[in-house]
Amino acid sequence: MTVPAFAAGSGRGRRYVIPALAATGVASIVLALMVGSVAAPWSEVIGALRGQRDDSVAAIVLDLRLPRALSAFAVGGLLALSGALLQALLRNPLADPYVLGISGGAAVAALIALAAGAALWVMQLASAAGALITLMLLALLARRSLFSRDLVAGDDAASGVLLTGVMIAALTAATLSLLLALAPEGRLRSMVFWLLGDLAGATDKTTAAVALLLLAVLAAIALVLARPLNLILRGDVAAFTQGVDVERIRRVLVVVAALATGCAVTLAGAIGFVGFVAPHITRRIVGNDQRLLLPAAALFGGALLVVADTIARTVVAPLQLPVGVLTALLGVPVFLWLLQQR
Amino acid sequence: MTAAAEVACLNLSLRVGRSAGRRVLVRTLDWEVRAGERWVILGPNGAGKSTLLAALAGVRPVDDGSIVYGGAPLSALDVAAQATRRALVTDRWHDPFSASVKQTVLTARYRFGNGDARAAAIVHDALAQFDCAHLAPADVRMLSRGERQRVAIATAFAQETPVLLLDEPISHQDPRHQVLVLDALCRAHGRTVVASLHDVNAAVRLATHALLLTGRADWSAGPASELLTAQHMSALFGTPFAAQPGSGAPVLLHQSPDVRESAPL
Repeated sequence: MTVPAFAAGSGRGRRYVIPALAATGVASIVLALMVGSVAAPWSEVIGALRGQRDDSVAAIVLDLRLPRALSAFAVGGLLALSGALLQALLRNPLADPYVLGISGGAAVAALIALAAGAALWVMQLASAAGALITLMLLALLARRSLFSRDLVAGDDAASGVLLTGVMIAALTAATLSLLLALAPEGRLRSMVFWLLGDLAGATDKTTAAVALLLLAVLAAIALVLARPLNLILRGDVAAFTQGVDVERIRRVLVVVAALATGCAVTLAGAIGFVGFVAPHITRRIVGNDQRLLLPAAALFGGALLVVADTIARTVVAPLQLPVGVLTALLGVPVFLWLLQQR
Repeated sequence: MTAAAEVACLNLSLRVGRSAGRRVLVRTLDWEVRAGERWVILGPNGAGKSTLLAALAGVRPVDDGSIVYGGAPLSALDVAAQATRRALVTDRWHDPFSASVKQTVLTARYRFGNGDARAAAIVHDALAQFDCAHLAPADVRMLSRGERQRVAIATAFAQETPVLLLDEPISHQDPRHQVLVLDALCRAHGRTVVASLHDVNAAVRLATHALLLTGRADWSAGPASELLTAQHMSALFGTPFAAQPGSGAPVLLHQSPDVRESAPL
């Protein structure tokens, strides 16, 4: 696999990557505002955004499409950030919150809360807690490689972590199926949402804003630790001997990854493979310097999910596909292809 | 213990394995390495050379006793302080993602922070010293094991620590590069070198002192001239060595019986 080595120091292209991706993100959101059952031409979208809400098109754009597009951007960004962090922490380009069962754990917790008739905010909290608990479980099972005092043995065992995660994912999938089998007929449709991931319900402006804010905060924390993370990529032994407090940084970033996943699942269910595909494509463009890769992957993941969701809700209109179906159909071949390259 | 010792082991014990398969590698090692000395650790497979180096680097816990750097116990130094004292070269590299050779060597400059003006020059020198300058833009994952090993040694050099710990630094090197690496280590201006080696003649070329680990928990340490002899090597490896006069120091030849002639047809 000939992945371009990342530009050393002050590569000319480097400084334009983030602005270009930010512009892509904005463009993807504008596209999402224009496309749908009612086509909104460019001029009307701009007008609506500038506050001219004089017709029904403006209402659709502002009250339905804008919150959904912003939610999609936040969810895609959070999943991509989580995936990029997990890939670096596990030193495995195949790591992803969905593959590792973290999204599944969050969905299980949310479904249990839903079955118990809990309020929406309790369900959202349960979902975040589910992500955290699942990642803790993974860390506990993989402690020999993640948190061992013997760093040499840890480096040698690192490849087993992904397999542990895949087994946890299988467990959460089975639990979700069990919950679905036990659920009353009338609830089924709303529960399938958690299994596949769907943005149809994400039309609340405040929630979208909070998710975007959380994305910014978590990305900022990750960015602060991106320099030592660059060293952790090359093994715990190497990073430690060069002066990185590997264990402390890994603890912080594991929590960041779990919170990002939990928040994304809360909003949109267990959308798969965005956290894996987005960092992978971004890596091919910007390389492996985490200081650039983490923000770039978050922006690209956001834009990717906005586009995927726009396609999902228009491709077989008037029916709307859950976006998770689309990302899985896209993600699985990419995953298998990458596996072949190794 | 005198304050002059750069690295010292006090009453150090190292074990591997759990319960039934437990094995004592080193027992009560009392050992002092002084500034500028070049120590070679020799011993048969599984004698604990890599384990001792890992313990000296602080990446593996010790089972008993302590390790001291310039009077300060290793366990009392934080990660950043340890990184100013020693660099470690292992023979296992993890390159799951692509990165250029130059970027890989640059990781050694982490301890110097963001405004490290000398980084580029130091990295260039380190690469040139180990015949890797031409590899600077290459992807580390495309290198041969020998090239990757020299990049790892260059990385340790770029960390600019007084102590260099190296686990079999010439295991993947061709004859020319074996000499190149050994001589670079000999010229490492005032740095203290502790390296494990399997080639006794490479050890003779590099060492001022030697630490012999038998793998049965006992050890001996002393000047290279006293320990790197045919007699000691024969006893250590359980196979005959003989000294042959060479152009400089005598060459130690391994006198293994020729299996090709004694093998049954």
